[in-house]
Amino acid sequence: MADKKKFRFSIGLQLYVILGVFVALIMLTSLLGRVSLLQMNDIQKNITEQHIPELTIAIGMGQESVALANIAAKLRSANTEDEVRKVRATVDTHAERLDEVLQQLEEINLGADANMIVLTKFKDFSKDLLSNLNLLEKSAYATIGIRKKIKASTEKALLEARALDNFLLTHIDDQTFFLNTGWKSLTQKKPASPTRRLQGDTVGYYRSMMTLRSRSQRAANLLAEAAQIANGDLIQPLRERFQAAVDTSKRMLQRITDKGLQQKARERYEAIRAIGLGAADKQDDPSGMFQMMEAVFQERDRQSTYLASNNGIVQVLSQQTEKLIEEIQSASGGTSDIFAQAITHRRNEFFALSIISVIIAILVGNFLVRRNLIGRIKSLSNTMMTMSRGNLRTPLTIRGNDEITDMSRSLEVFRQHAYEAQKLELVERLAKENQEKNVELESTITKLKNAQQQMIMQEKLASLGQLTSGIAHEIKNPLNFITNFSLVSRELLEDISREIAEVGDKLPADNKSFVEEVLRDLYGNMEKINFHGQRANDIVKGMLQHSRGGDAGATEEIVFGRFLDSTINLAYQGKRTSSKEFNVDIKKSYDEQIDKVKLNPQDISRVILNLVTNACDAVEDKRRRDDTDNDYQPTIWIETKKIGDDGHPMVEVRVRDNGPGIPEKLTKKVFDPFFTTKPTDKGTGLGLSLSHDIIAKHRGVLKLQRLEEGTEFIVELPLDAGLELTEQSSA
Amino acid sequence: MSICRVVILLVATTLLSPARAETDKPAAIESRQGITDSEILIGQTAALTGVAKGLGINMRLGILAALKEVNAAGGVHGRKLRLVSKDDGYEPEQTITNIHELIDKEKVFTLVGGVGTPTSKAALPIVAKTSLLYIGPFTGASFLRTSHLDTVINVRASYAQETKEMVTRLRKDLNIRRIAVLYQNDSYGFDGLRGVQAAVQEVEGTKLVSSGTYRRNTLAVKTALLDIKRGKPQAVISIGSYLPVATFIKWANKIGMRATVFMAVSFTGVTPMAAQLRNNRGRVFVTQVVPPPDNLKSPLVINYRKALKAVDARAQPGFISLEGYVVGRLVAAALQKAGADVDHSSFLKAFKAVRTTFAIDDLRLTYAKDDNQGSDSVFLTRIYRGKITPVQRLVARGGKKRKK
Repeated sequence: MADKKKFRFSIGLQLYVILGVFVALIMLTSLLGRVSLLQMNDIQKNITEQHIPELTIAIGMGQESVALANIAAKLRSANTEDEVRKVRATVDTHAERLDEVLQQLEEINLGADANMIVLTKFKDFSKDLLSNLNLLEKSAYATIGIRKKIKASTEKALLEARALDNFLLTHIDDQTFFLNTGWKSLTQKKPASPTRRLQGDTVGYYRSMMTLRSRSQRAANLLAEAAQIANGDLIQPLRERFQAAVDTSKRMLQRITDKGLQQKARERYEAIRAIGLGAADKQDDPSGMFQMMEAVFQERDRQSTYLASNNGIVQVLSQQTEKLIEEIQSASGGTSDIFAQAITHRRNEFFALSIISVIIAILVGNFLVRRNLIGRIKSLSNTMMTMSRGNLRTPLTIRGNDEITDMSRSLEVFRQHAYEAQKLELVERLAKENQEKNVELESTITKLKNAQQQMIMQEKLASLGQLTSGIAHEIKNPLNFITNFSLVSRELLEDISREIAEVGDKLPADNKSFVEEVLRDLYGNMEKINFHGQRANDIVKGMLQHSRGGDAGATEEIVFGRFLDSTINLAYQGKRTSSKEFNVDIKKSYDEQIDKVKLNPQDISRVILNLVTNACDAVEDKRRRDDTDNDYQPTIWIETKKIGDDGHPMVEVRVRDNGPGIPEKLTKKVFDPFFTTKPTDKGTGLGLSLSHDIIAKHRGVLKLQRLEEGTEFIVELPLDAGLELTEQSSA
Repeated sequence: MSICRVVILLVATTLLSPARAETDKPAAIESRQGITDSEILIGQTAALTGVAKGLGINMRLGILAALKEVNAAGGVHGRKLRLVSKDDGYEPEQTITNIHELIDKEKVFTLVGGVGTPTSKAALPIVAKTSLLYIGPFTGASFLRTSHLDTVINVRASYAQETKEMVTRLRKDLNIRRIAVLYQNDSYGFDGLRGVQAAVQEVEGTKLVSSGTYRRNTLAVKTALLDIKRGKPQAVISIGSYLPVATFIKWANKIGMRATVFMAVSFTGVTPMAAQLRNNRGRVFVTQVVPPPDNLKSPLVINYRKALKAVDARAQPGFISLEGYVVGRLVAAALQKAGADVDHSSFLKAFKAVRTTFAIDDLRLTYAKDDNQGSDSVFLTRIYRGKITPVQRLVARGGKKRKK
């Protein structure tokens, strides 16, 4: 409620204010512009209405006169009559236009007498210009005509020279031949003698012909050269050279002996000479090439004069035109001044206003936008960035009263909440860590307890072993007596039997048969005593062997088959002792390749014993549970097999039963110490665990394989496992 | 005010800038120029005066005879053929002028029967710029056969083929190895010289023993004779025109080269040359590129003689006019083939199909895309005491065949 009452300078409002200021400035500026434009428009209109037609005429006059002057130059450079005609047509058009312009000037009537004078002047000038152009045209035609003649003359001269050269070449050819062979004509009967043909005259004549040939050629070339020159001064020297060439030629020509040939050559020579110099009897005949060239250059000079005169006229004309234009402008001078003043004035105002606008814009930008809006948004964004990095402790500074203030405030609230949340999260995390540690501790304690129990159990087992061995030892002596004396007794009985057999005839038949029967029974009893005594001995021996587990490392090479038999027997007897009903079919299948294996017999027998006992327990368990099923035959299979390669021969022992099997979820736990499914008084849960350790010590493997019916344990042992053990123990 | 002055000057300069020069391009060549409903105009530039006039006049005569014959038979697709001939005097400069006039002023449809190598060389660049054809030039120059395949249509065998035949015959028939060359100092002479050099190199494996040259349109052959004699040749092959060559032979005999065999290419002009050598009893042979005009077994010759008589009752049959006649007949045949609405491109196509053969009576002219020479045949003639006789092989002496 308090916010509502307080005046709120929101961003929208701020922006409106800024915009408003700008709009006001622009409107002010454009208003000013409009006013001045209107003013200038008025002035412009004034000028247009009053002075434009005059200006147009003046400009037109300037144009046309300059055009005519330019065309004059074209007339001079024209090369053909066609070109001259074309230029002439252009001249006529421009002349016509100039005439029109002059007429317009007259019609407008400039009013002042001075202007009328100007008009007359213009007319005179244009007349001069046109007459000059006519002269130029005439001169151009003349030049072209002469040029044509020169061209034809040159061509003719070259043709004549070639013809002359052909005559001379043939003549020289003849002369060469004569000099060489002495033959002059086909009708000649005999060739001239060398003295005749090689005399001075003949050679001199030959030379003259060569000279004539070269000079006449030179003369023609000089003519061709003269036709090309661009500089009139060169005509005279060329002419002199030509003169010299033709003079020499003439002298040489007269030496030609053959009159017919001389006549022909002379004709050509005269033609060439005439082309260059004109008729022989006339001085400076204008039909001569050099005269014509002179004429060309004269025409050129004349043209230059006309052109210069034309240029002069045009210059004056343009001066006059300019003057006219200036006059027209001075007539409109007043308005022009106002126009100029208005422009200057408005320009200054515009300038000042723009500067003010710029300054205001800068100020507004700086104070309102940069400092107030952008600055605060920037600081807000910085704060947000800091917060995003996890620093939530620093509180925000809140300024002003607009949307940014709201944002800051909201952010501050958010920050406080986030800070609280951060703290809470920390506590939770600590608690969780504590709990985890507790669980860990508990499990460690459990493990410790288990280990303790195992130790106690091992201790118990050890003392039990000691006790058993003691007892066994004690029992062994009486057993020895029993077996030995039973043997002795049997021998004695045999002696008695022999005696009776000898003296038997003396005894009554009834007594004799009775005694013999008693003796037979006694003998049988003695046999039984001996057998069972022997058996008891074996059991004790097995017990001793088993209880002597403490002698780790004592390895021996033993016959594996027999070793297995005794161990299995021990296990079986053990079971039979505990339960009279117990019965199991033990099927053995040993690999014959396996003979002796080096191992620790106590340890390995313990493993086998364990496995066989377990198998017995399993089948017994099943038999009891399926009492109704009379077909069930508890069976244990024990197989050995040689595996592995030659480098590492191994023996594999498989102990399989057809008992109830082990559930899959328990397979992993089977080898854990103290894991057992048996009742507490029966199993310790140490058997398989210890077995596993023992086999591992032998570098072997103990594996469990679940079968469809029953379980199979597989022991893989290296054949020389004991060797390793011995070495280890001796080390 | 200065602004106004600037405006004036600106406007003035734009208006006064020189008017656009009107382009003076030559009138474009129409691909049907020279053809009207009733007529087709054909142009020729050849030597009708000067030392080579015997060639040009006879060439023209032969063409006229052929055209008259064709026209008398109703023309080509109802159009009569008309020939315009111009004299270039065997000078290339004049040829250029004539070709321009024929194309641009007379507006001929095609050009035929040019005479000479240097003249054809001058004409070719001009004709090649247009779509016109240059048909049956009286020259065997190689450049007309290797390039400009779309501009030139040749009838005759090349100089190289003629000179090859000469060298081969000299070797085979007379066992001659020492060969010299007389040649005109222009493109014709050089082309022939190269032909002989190549042939001698190929057949004999040797070089020319000597050579001499003379200027075109002169009789200044004696210096050349001195040059050639120095090499002591057994045979002289000449690449020239009849008058200088005949002069050369006469002088050669005069200075004791009576045993020498003289040979000339077809261009020399056997008929006027024979007239010059009326008293010559030596061995002079001229190769020809058309069959002998007195072989009355050939339908071509029969037709030619008839047509020639129709044009000029006094005219004597000759090799040159026979060649002209063949050229005229070929042009008519090609026009016939190109169809009634013939233009330059269809006219060219008439020659440049994959392989086109024109049968001019019993003479067959074959053209292909890359072959613009109709005939490869070379014939041999002998001039003896001013008489021309066709021969199959060179003979030893005195008109009698050499016996072994």
